[in-house]
Amino acid sequence: MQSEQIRVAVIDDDPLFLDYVSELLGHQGGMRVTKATDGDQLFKELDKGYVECVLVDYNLGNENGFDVAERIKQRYDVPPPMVLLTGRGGERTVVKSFRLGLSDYVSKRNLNTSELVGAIRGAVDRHRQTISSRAELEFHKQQSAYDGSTGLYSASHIKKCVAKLTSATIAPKPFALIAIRMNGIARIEKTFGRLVADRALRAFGQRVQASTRAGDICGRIRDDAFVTILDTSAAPKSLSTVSDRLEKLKQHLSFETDFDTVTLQLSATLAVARYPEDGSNFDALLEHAAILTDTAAENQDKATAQPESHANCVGARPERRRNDRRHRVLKRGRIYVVGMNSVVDCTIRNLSEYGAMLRVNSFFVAPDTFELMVVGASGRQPVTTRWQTGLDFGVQFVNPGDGRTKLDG
Amino acid sequence: MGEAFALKFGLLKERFRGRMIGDVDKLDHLALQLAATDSNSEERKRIRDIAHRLAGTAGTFGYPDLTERAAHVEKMADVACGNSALAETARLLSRGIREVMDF
Repeated sequence: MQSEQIRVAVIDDDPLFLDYVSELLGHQGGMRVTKATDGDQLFKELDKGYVECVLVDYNLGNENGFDVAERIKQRYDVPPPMVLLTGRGGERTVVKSFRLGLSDYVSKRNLNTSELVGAIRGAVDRHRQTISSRAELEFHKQQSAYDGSTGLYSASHIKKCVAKLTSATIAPKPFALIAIRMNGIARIEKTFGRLVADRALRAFGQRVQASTRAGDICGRIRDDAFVTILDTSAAPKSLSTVSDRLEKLKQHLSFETDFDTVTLQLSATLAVARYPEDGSNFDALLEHAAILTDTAAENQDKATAQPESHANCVGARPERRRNDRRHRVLKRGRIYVVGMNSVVDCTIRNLSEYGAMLRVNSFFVAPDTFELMVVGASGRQPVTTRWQTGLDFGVQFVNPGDGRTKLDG
Repeated sequence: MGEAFALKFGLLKERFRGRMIGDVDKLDHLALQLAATDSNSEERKRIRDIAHRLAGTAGTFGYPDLTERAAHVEKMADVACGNSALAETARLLSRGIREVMDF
């Protein structure tokens, strides 16, 4: 693997050092080197998709290596490994570089050629191994009959089942495919973290499973997409049966679930595709159903869209707020995420007429606006998030003055 | 070191030397200006940038002693030392470059 020419991009704002490192890596390391003196030049090269490793200088003048590393991570699904060149590689810089996911670091001062070449080769080898392992895992996932996250049948198994049903040349049996899309999973992950999203997905999967009857086949085919295949050949009034099942499924899949301090209201968007009327194979049936679920999801989004008034009411008077007396007594609160029907428990501190500081117990990205209720005190009040540091965040009441008078009871 | 790389390296070293000639003049000039002001000036930043760049490259081109001296100037510019102290250290660096590189 190491005999291949590794394609590396080097970014450094010092053209002299850039030329030196490029020559060094080219002649001593046998690598193909692309040079960049700033982020824009680097991204032009990375966009071509050939670069296997980025050697990034920490001090780049107007920006630093960590900014560039962040941008690379955000821009590409599978970013190339990065090695940091540091001038004064203090402990904090090194720790931060590993936290950011950089593969290695090399001191720029008294640069050691074999160390530098070794760091790049090591980073590329590890990256290739990771990619290969991922591909292997993906292959096994594809082959597996069961979905690892929910325990339901996998997409490949469902596809095989449908292929069997549709390949019957003599008297093919009609069936109905119900496409089920779990609503808002992306937002749940963004707001409450991966752990809660995975648990929500499992809970949803269990509901899908519980709603099946003998002869049904159900599985998860994508992130938030499930299907249930109903054998309609034996049912005397198949059309009404499917409609009934669809309605019951819809009701069954709209439920509230608790995860420690977070309460989520889960729901689904459903659509039906019938074989052979709506498609002759799995993909065609799924496409037919997807069009219907997309339309239904759009309508639902419009119906649950947040009113803009909350976001526009951030008129604070900082000087008055500072003088205002704050209550440091801890209170129990509940956060209602507008548009998601989700509730998160929190503790409230520093409650004032204008705002409060809140703390949650687990990962939670506070939305720009939400509703806050003090448990045992009063109703829900709209608030805007002003800052967040880890599990703590500060909020401001949309209608200043409502805070203590209404919430404090 | 292969012949081709040795040739390239020689050319890069010449470029480094040429840059140093410019940098010593700049350092002397900036040190003079810095010593004459009390403010947290632009000169301070420019001295730091020159020192940082020098610290990052001098060792590579065979001048580890200059790397140490330049790193010291960079560190002084980063901590809140007085302008006159930084100006004096920058002058010492400039003198050191002249000596080591035989300008």
